[in-house]
Amino acid sequence: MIESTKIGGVVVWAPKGRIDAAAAPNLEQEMMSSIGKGAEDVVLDLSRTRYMSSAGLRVVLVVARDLQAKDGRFAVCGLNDEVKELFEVSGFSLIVNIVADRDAAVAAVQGD
Amino acid sequence: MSQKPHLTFVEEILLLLLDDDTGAMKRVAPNVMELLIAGAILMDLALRGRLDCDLQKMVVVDAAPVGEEILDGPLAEIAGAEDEADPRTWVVRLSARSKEIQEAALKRLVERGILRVEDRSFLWVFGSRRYPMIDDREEREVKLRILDVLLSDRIPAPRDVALICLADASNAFQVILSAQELRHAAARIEVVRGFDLIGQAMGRAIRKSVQDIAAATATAHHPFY
Repeated sequence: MIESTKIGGVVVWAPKGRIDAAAAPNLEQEMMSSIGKGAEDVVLDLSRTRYMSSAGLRVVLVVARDLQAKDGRFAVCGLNDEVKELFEVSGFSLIVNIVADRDAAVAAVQGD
Repeated sequence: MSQKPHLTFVEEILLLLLDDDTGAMKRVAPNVMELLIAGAILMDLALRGRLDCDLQKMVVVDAAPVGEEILDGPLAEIAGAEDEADPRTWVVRLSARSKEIQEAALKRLVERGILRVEDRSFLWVFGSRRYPMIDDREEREVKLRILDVLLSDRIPAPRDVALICLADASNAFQVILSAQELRHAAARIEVVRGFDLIGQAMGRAIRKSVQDIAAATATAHHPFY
């Protein structure tokens, strides 16, 4: 299940559970569709996500790439220890703005 | 116009490793080549939605054949495995069938009209009356994709990340880039190759293999040390 809300012009996506090969295509489609319709300030809130695989990482890569090409802004927040390790080992922490929680993520995107 | 299907990563890396003029394959240590081809297969299957992995394990999420002979054999092998293994273990396991995969991929490139065989060497079909533009585009596209990622700050597409992992592991950058470009891109290569977990696993397997061979060679030369 993917919750989507808009906070002060920032679109916040909050997928629940696992982002693996089964869930990743749907998340990618939803987020890319939103960006295609004009969303340029985007937050991925992972506070309800307990597991992410390489398929989930690819969604983050594709979204970050598309937003960069559109001069959009992107932040990720709410990572548990396991997901945080995945981001660090893969180097995604070098290309994606990672912050603690949703408020900080929205503020970071608005303030970029 | 229908979109041209992607070449497999094995085909792309073989094209990068072929010398345009002589048709000879760039020298890559046999054990490195085997691990490289295995990594290419796994990355291809992952991007086609057949495999998924994390830091501990690799799993088959869809065992349906993709319709490419060189991919479907390994997919069936992984799907039929009784144990669960991490990506690096699978790179090593699949490397045992790399020779047959490489032969099949070269044959496929000939069938696609991209290479021809001459005096036992594979040659690009440059200047061919049948497919001159198509073949030129295949080679240029692969190289341009790599250069575009390495010489900019743009976030790469997943396919380009995989290609950079493979080019790095095979030292193909020494052919594609000048010495100055390579120095300039070194830090960028280091970052980008981390983005793909299978690419990382393949890189670790190759480094371990190279270290083991170096250690064995040193022992052979200095048996009393």
